[in-house]
This record gives sequence, structure tokens and C-alpha cells, in this order.
Amino acid sequence: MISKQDFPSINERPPEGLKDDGTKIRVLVVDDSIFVAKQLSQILSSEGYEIVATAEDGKEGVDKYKELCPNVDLVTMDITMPKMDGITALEHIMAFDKNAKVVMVSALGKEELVKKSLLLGAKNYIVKPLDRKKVLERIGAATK
Amino acid sequence: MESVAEKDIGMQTVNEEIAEERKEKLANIDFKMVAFSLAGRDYAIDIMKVKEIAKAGRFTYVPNTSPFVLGVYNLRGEIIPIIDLRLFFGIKVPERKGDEIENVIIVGVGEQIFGVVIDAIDKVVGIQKSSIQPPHPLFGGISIKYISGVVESNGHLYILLDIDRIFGARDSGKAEIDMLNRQAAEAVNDTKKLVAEKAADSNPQLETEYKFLVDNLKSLRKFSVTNVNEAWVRSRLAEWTKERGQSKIQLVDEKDADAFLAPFYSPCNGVFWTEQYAADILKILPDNKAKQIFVWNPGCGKGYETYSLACVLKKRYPDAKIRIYAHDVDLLNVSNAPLLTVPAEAVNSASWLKPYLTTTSGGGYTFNQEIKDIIMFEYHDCMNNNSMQPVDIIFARDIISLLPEEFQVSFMNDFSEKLKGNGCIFVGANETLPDTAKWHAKTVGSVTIFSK
Amino acid sequence: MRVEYINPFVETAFNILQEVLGGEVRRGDLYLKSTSMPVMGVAALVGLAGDVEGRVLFDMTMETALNIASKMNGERLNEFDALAKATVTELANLITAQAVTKLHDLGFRFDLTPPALFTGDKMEISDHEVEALIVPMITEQGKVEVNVAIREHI
Repeated sequence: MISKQDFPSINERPPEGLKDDGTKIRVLVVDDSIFVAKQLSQILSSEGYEIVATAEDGKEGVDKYKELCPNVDLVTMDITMPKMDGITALEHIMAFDKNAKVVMVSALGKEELVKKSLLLGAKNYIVKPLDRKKVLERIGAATK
Repeated sequence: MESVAEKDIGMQTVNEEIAEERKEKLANIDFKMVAFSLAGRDYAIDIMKVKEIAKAGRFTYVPNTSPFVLGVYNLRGEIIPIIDLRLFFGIKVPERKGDEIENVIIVGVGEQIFGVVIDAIDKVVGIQKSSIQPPHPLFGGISIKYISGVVESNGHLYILLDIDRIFGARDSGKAEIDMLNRQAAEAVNDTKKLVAEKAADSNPQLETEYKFLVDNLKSLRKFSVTNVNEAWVRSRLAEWTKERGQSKIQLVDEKDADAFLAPFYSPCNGVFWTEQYAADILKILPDNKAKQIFVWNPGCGKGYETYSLACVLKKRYPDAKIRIYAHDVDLLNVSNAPLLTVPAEAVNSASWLKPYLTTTSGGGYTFNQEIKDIIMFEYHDCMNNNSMQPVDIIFARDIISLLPEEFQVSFMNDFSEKLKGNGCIFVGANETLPDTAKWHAKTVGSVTIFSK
Repeated sequence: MRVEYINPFVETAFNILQEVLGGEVRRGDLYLKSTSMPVMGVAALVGLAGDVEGRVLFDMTMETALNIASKMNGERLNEFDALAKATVTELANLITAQAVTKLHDLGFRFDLTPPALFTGDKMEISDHEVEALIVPMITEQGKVEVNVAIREHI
């Protein structure tokens, strides 16, 4: 899915993953699939983001966020996970930190799920399969 | 009876047991189960529920119990019921001769002890409790409610049974049907033999011609001649012989078969019902005060019959919520059924349909949403199981004859099972339900229905 | 199986396989099965709940599974390790989730459960009471059978 031509030429523009002060944007990836976590990590790292941690289910995701805060800038959240799903985890994180930036990443594209997530405070919603351009666009928009 | 409990479970020597324990500590085994096979598949029960393993035969039969209760057994002074799990799960079992030694797992559920007959005991398997996966609806085959989980060990997939549920709530329905099927099949076979013998006596040459014709109908058009349609086939043959002459009776190709079968089909086959036919059906439909009326329509084809039926039912039972389950095994036909339109000529010849139609943007007609919501079209092979709830009406015209002989009996037994007490069945105009002990026929005008 | 459910599964299987694997994808003839079904070697299973109960099973040989995992990861995987398993599981998830989304748009309320993966040489699914729709999909990596069994709630 990721091929050489997806990598942009470095000289064209500054990488999306860097803040204005030059430090890397720190991301927590929450997904029960190590394949998806790997995909996301690859896309984001190649653009300068720093993946500070991953979690395999909603509960671990919430715990890691609480642990890492304030040293995490963005969370990517899968929806279908065992133990605690992404929507519930989103609720917990927003309750803990109302300024948290969470982007939902899911294979489910139901309108009501998108609406619900955004109403609960998610900054954006990405529908899988992951497309590099789309991911960078939506995540980029969430961190502005 | 010999209890081989000690032998089977602890079949290892002391040394082996110690080595086993060491291995287990490394592998983190915290759950053990007794594995066994049932109809070729691997199942298992929590070892904590298993009291012992035994070989036993000659159970004392107890009348008035479900067929899967084989009887009781005297286990060292305690009388325990013996259950056959295969019958309980509806798996076919060869007839018991009565004297065979069976493999029995003795289980304890609460205070009660039961004996469970299975095919063969495998061994005790140790696993990690955390590796037990929850039962997916996948195993709906033997009812997910009886399965606590699924687990893999050494290349085998074991279905872990919830023994508490199985003996807590006994579901006797399925086993009863199997018994019914067996008895009915026997009765049908006996009747067929008698009919064949009688016919053979009268004219041996005619009989041979008849047998060839039957074979051809089967191979050319999948039409199986049985006591469902035999009366019609014989009278049609007499007619056919007059038409074609004694030497040209045999069906040479599909065209011939179609010509022979042309008068078999029920009125309005493959088209929207005429006003007269719709009125005839309406007249014979019994009263039904239920708030919900369920209908099974196997072999619905392109849907002409189904939509016509839906309109008639709406007229007959205006206050009820009607649901028709329409099944067919022809994917193309049944997929297009929800989109069926009514061309202008059809609206003219079947004008009684008008109140149920709406116009489409293209200027044609289609059925209104109320009628469409009544029907659920499904791609389904009626030779497979289906899980419908009991129905008020079964509308199965001209389909039984198109099923293989062996299947016709169990299909008709399914009617018994699926039809509510006060329900009725429509079959083809030239078909009948032959088991007169089970079905009572009522004829009004040109239409006949059957009820229990 | 209700005819309205068929197309969403057929379409999404085709679309996702094409998008994710990139090559040519062909669909075989659909048919119904109701006997115990031997699994080709690798089976990814996603449960369905809601207005219906049931499951979608993705069945393929080990070779096909490795080919697919390799293609999706952009590198050759020779062993069916945790990453390869997660990859095949994710494929099953993508197809089922998109089908569920499509069905949702048509007015059918379906949900899915997290997927499970089974591997084994002589595994069989004993579903003798459930009828399944089989959609064979032929990809450049091998054949994947999409096996859908759905039962309406009354």
C-alpha cells in the first residue's frame, strides 16, 4: 500500500509533523490491529510526526493518554476494539482533558458514528482503507 | 459396567505425570477439558464438570421422554439418565440395536448426575483459559447458547460446550422432528410399494413405459413423480398416449417434457393473477383475527405470485400486519423480484391490482410501499434449513414436485413443524399432500387448501 | 439470505480487494452452501449483530494469505506471524465494515464484532443449520471465498 512514489520530495515544503517551533507533533495511536498501527505510524513518521506510544484497546488508550498527558499532542482512535470501543474511549479522554485532539480512524463509515464522534469532541474522522494523502490532510487539519 | 475413569484420565504412569506437570507449569495451563468427538467433530467439556468416563450398554428405556433421552442407567446403585448428544443436536445417528456398548461421559450439573453418550473419547487437553475465544454466531449450527467458547490446541479446533446450559434448559423440538421424519418416510415408502405393485399387475408393458417417462421427467425437467403428483401424471399419460399414439409416448428432449408438463402448472403461473383467480383464493382463505400474519412462499420465482398474494392478503386481512417470506434458489429471478414492475397491458388484464399500485417516473406502474414492505425476498435453497418462526399460511405451488424424491418427505414434514395450529397450506393445482392422517383437505371451487 | 443484503457484500468485497491489492480482481458465481464447510487453511471471521445475527467468513489458503499480507505490507512476508495475521484480519474488517456501512445507508441496522483469525490444516465449520452465501473472489494473490451467513431476528 505504501510505495516509493508516495514519499514527497523533501525540498518542496516543510513536513506536516513539525510544529512551528520545529519540535515533532507527538501522537498516540490506538488500534487493535498491529497492521493498521504500523501503517499509520509509517505514514505519520515519514512526515515528521513522532509516535510516542500505541495502545491495543480503548481502555489501554485512555490509560496511556492520562499517563502521557501533557506530552501528547494528538490521538488516533480506532472504533471497533475489544474491551472498550473507540467511542467510549473518546468520551473518557475528552472528560479527562477537554482540549484533547482525537482523530477517529475506522473502517465503519456510518453517518451516525461520524456525527456522534464529532459531537463528543473528536476533531476529525478518517474512513479506512488508509490513503496517505487523506490521512495527512485530516490529521494536519486537526493539529492546527 | 466397568468404570475406566482412573484408566483413561490418569492413563500415564507416575513418572509421566510428573514430567507432564513440569511441562504444564512452563506452558501456563490453567484449564483442562475432556475432548471427544461427535459426528466427526471435536468437542470438549470442562474437566471440572466431568465425574468419570465409562463404557456402558443396555440402558433401561423410559417411555414419554424425548427421543434423545436413551433411558436410565444404574451406576453403582445411583440411577442416572443417559442422553445422546447427537440426537439432542439433531445429528443423524444409525439405528441402535439395543445391545451395543457406548462411550459415556458422566457429568455433574448442580446436584444431578447425567450420562452423555458420544462417539469416542479423545483425551484430556490442557490449555490457557485466556486462549478460549468467545462463541461466534458462526457456530449457530448447534445453537450458540450451548457453546461457551472455541479454542485451538495442537492443530485441533475444539468447541467447548456449556454443559450447564444443555442440561439446564432442554430444547426438545429438533429431536421430535427427526423422529417424525423417519416415521413419515417409512409410511411413504410402504404406500409407494403398494401403488407400484397394483399398477404393475394391470399392464406390465404400460408400467415399463411409465417408468421410462418418470425417469425422463426427472432428468429433463427435474420433475420427481411421487404420491404428491402421481395421480395427475397417470391421467396425463393416458391423455398423452391418445394424443401422440402408443409408439410415440416417450419424451425425447426438453421440448417434449415441457409439452407433457404444460397442463400441470397451477393457474396464473408466472404472471399476475387474474381477477377470477384472486377472488377464488380470497374466498378460501380462512378467518384470522391475529394482529400479525406470517406467510412462507417457497419457490416464489420472479415474484408474480408473491405480489398477487400480498394484494389478496391485504384485502382479506386489512387490519393485520402481514409478512411474506418469499424464497427462491434462482439468484437472478429473486434478486430482481423487489424491483418488479407492472406493464400497462398487465394493469388492464389484472385491473383488480390498481389500488395497490403507484406510478413510476417513467410512466409505468409498480407496487406501492405498503405492499413492498410486506414481502421479504430471499435467495434461499429450500433444501437447506431455515429458521423461520411458525407461519399462518404456506404458499407452495408447483414446488414440491420439483424437489428430489428423498427431500419431498422431509420438506412436507417441515410444513408440520412450521405451520401454526390453525394454519393452512396451498400446493399446486395438480399436487396434493398425500399423508391423509396428517392433513385435512378442503376444496372451495377450483382451489384446495390443507390444514392440520 | 435476503436479496437486499447480497449486493453490498459483493460490491464491497470487489472494491476493497481491488483498492487494497491493486491488481485484477474477478468475481466467481455466487452459490448457497449448507453443509459443514472445510476451511482452506486460513479463516478470518467477523461477527454480525443488530437487526440480524450472523457472521462473515473469509476463507483462503495459507499461500494466498501470505501473498495478500505481503502485498498489503509492501514487503515479502514468508511466515504467517503476528503482523501477517493482523493484516489479513484487517482486510476482513475493511470489507465487512464497508458492507455494513452500505447496508446502514439502505436502512438496515447491522453492527460488527472485532474479527477473529483461525488457522489450521483440517478445520471445518460445523454450520449444519445455517445457510451461507458464497462469493468467490479471484485475485492475483489467490482465491478468497467470502462466506456470509445471516439470520433475521424475529
